Amino acid sequence: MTHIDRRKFLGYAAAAGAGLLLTRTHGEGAPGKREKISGEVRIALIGSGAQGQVLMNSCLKIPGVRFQAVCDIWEAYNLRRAQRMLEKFGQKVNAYEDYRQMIAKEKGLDAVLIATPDFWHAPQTVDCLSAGLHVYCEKEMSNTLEGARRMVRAARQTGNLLQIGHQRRSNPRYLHCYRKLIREAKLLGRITTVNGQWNRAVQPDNTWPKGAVIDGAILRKYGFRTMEEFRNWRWYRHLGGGPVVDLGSHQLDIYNWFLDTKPRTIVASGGIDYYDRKTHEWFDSVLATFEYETPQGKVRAFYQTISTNSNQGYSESFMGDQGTLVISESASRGAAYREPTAPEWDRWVSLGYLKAPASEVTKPQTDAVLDVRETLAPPSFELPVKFDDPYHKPHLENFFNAVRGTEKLNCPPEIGYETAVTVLTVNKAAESGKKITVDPREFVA
Amino acid sequence: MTVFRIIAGLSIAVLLLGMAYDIHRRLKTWRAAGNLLHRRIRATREGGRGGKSGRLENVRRIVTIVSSALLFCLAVTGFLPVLLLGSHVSGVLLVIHVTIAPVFGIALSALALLWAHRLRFDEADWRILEGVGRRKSPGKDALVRIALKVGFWSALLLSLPLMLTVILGLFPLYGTDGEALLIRLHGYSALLLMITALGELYLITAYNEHSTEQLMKEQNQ
Amino acid sequence: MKMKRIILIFLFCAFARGETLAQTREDVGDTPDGNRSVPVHLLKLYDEFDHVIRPDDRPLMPFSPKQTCRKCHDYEKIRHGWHFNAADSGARGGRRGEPWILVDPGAATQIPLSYRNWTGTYRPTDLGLSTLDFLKTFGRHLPGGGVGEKDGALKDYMRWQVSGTLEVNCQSCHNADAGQSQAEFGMQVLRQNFRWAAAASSGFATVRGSAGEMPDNYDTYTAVPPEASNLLPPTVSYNTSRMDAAGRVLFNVPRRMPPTQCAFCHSSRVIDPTRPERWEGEEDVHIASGMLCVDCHRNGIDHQMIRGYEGEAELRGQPHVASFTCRGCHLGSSDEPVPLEGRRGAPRPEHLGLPPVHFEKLACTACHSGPWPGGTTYTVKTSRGHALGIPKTDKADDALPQIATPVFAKQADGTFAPHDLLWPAFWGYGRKGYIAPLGPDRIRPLVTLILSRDTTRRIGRWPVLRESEILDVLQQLRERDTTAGDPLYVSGGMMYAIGPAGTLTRLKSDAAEPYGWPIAHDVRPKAQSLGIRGCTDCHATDAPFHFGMVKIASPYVVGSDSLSRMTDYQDVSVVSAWLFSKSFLFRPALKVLIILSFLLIASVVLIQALGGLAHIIRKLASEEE
Repeated sequence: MTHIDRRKFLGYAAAAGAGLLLTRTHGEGAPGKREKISGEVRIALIGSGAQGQVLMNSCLKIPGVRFQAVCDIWEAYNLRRAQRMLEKFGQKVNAYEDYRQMIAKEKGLDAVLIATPDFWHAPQTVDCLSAGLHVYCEKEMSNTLEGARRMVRAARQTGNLLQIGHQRRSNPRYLHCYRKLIREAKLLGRITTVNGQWNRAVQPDNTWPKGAVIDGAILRKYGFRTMEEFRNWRWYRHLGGGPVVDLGSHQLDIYNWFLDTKPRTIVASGGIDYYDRKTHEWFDSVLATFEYETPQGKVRAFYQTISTNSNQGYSESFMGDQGTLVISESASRGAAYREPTAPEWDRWVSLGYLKAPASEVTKPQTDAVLDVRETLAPPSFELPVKFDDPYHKPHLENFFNAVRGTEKLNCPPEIGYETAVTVLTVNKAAESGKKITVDPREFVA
Repeated sequence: MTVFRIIAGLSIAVLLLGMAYDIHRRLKTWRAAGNLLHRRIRATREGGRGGKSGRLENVRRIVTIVSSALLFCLAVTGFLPVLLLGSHVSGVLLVIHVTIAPVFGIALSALALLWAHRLRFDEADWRILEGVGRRKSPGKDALVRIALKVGFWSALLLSLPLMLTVILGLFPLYGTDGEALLIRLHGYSALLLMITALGELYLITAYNEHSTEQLMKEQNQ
Repeated sequence: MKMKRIILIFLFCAFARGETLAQTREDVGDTPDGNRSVPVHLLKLYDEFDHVIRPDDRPLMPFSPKQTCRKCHDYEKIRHGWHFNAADSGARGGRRGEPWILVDPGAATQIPLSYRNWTGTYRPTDLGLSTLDFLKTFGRHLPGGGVGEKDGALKDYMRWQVSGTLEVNCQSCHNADAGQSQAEFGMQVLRQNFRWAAAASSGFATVRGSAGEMPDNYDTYTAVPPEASNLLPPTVSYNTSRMDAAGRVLFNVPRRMPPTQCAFCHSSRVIDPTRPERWEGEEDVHIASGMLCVDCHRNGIDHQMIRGYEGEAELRGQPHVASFTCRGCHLGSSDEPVPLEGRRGAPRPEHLGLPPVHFEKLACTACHSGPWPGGTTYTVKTSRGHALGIPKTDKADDALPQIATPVFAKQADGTFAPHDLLWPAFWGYGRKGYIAPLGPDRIRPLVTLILSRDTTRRIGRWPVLRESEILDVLQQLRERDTTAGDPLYVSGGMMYAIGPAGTLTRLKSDAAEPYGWPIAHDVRPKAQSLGIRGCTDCHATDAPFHFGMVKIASPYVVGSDSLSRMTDYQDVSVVSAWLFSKSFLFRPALKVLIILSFLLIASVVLIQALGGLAHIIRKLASEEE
């Protein structure tokens, strides 16, 4: 029998008690699975480039979130910039080049934000989930379906949360449109057609400051052949999916969401029509049509993404027999237009689902003495929801609240996978030049 | 400005101290000085006999008193800011000074006309001066009479640069340095004039009892 | 052991040499050898990270004046110079000067701001303006540096990353190239293109786009985010024909900078209805005679420019600076061991007939500077107050802010000098004798709401306020925050508060006093100086110097308050001024009387003197006999 003297016993008891006091109110639970936490959420960022900094900027405006570490392979520029910025805001962080080192060394982390090139999403997400961390992964989920599948399965297996960064799913304006206008009010009647576009002006390639070139060995270690590739990975086949994946995934995700289904067929036309093929391996212009089978009937959707002209920017239009809904992440666009034959929308205005139009257009458009035209320009019923925050903030808030157990994820991996299938199939269709029929089972990971 | 302040301050102080010493030496007490002053004032008021000469005497007295008062006002308004503040006369004081100045000019002119003959230097004065030259001490009355005359004519003489500097300064004849020189000369002239006038008044008040009667007698003769 | 010693000596020498080299690197241009020719400034361009810029760089970066010029000049010293040090702690403000004027008609606000400790001005931070906010409004007329290089508010951190630092733009003053455009610099600053502004102004580079329109996360090396692809990011392109084979550009840096370099920020236009055209007026006589601003407003490498006011030498502890004032140059001082007056042939003024008291009471500028005063003050527009020189600036004569000139007021040293005068108008909370002003952004919505109730109101330059409207706003302010203090409105020289009976009460307050700053330019020639036509230029009961009327421009001025008298700013009784002026009516009579008195007294004295002379002649004759 081991004799423990009174002094030692009291010492052990005090240490145990202190340990209990100092840990936050969350348990470790089973290995790989994190329990829900309350209080401050400690996070790390993998990939502090342009998109990573967008996420950082949003997180700094969310109370109860604290950065603990940041990781980027571009130490001389991205990493330093992010670290400096976080310190400015009072968050001293540890900096890493290798994310594996980071998740091994950093204790007390709750979640990780991943904003690296698409081809890294799968391995990083799987590793982080397996390490017991919740993950917010930027879209596109992965540049391959296989990678996306692995992410879904890892989330299932570990039971940790994985949110895919289709931030419109948490945007209050989009939520209002889906829940109130489409589901509840059925404002548009039977939706028959969807249009969407993301027109982007000609852009020079991304560059880098002199004296901040990444060593070739490091580039190669992380899958890049050159600095040019590293900075413009979206255009390279082995790294990204081109504009339709980079941009179209946002909007095609909305198509699927608002129509409550996935496309049945996809036809696409695309080509490298403008940019230098040596540095642009993906299509700079893609035009795709989709067929959706909804309970109300067929919906034909059109989507284009071009990189040579910015006319009309980006938006989605849902057209039904009673009205049209035009919505964009940009707050300057968001209105509904009633078809002349549709019933009045006074009820929805009175319920606050729509703003009353500013004025009916009554002024004659011609110099004719008597204007007997029946068809006037449709009045615009603007959305009543104001949203001035950074675009990604609500989606991140949703993620952190889910981490705290107070909300459900708005874009869990299964939904992200459906979108991944949609957008990656567009590239396939453009490549083949054929109409592709997608089996609904393909949308399940 | 600083030099002038020092010189003016010193000279006025010396004069006042001298007067105070003399009063103390002669009259021993301030009460006696006050009594003397009282007698002189009464004598001045009573004046001479009536008639034309009596009226003229009154005019003389009035002009003397007015000139003295005006000079006093000019001295106060002119010297106060300079000596106390070290700055030029300006503002209300300047307005008063320039208003009084022409009146003083007129009064001084009248004083000159009225007293020039009475206080002219005559044979008796020359003989006294010659006697002094031969180390013959004149009587106190004679000395006082000479002093009064010298004081009178000195004052008139000093009033000339006093007025000339003002006149020249009122025309655009001199530049910055010239104007500064004129003001300085005006100041020194005024200082000397004031000292002379103070001395004259002191002599009249403290010593002139007999001399005045003498002067009255001469007039009646 | 011996080898160790050799190595140590070698290392020491290398270190010492390196240190010496480092010390002299920035002294090359700052320590002249006496040669009076101008070094040719054929320079390589460096970006903010000190990398050489080559025409084929991708992306092309804007050149950094700091990195380019500091190769030979001590930038650290320069950036604490007068034009840049307003926000430096410990920087002396000296005599108060023209403030920055924040104008917001919608908020009925016109308030003088300065980072210097000039009494009567408010610090931009008092109104909740961060350094970025300040630059967005006033940076158009700054030569860079100053708050452009200071740590900004945390809320603006991302914007500073996008815009870059606003370095001292040496070219603003020192580049005499015909293409050097301070207007372009100002426009770029307004677009928040701080990093690019110097290059844009140089005349050999073109900058397009706007950092201000870019999202918070925009990075120069990354294309515009797709959601903003219709916006133009800031980019620079160089006129490569201006670059030699080595990529160097020739900067036209003269030894003496022409006045046009200074004029952009230091211009003013007096609104004189009798002379509406520029050609009808005149420029400063010094400039007209061929002098340059820098002939008087000099500085060394420390860029502590001489402002040229009396007392500056004492404040700086540099006695020779006194020789650059009006008096110092034109009158000199007999105390100097070597005469310094008459610099550049400065004429010595005659001042015929001017009594010395004027030099005691008046600054030189009282007679020689600013516009010839009229019965009522004029309005003046200034570069910094009205954004003169910036394209599409409001050219209307009544554009805000409305500044009155010339106002002959008493300066701190007791002398009278002409001033520009501004009446502050602002809302605030008062507590313990201090008014905390409210920034326009905070008050505008409330004021606009209350004013909009009167749909017949025509909003001109000012939304002319009614008493009831002021009261409304004050009451709303009180309801919004009961702990901040008493809600107040300052306007037209008075302060307004809610009285005990709930009515509007007028109060006198230092905070409501107009802010005035002495003016020294344009200097008028001798023939156009006050007093050239005689004393009555100033000493007459209708002379503007004392009896001119000063217009009060402010959103709420009660009828009789719209004008005030010049004597109100002179610490002089209007009665005494009137009496004195009136006395000049009698001057001719005074002269005549004194001349006559002089002649009379002189005659009397002469007669006596002649009498005395006659006596001496008789005496000598009798002795001879």
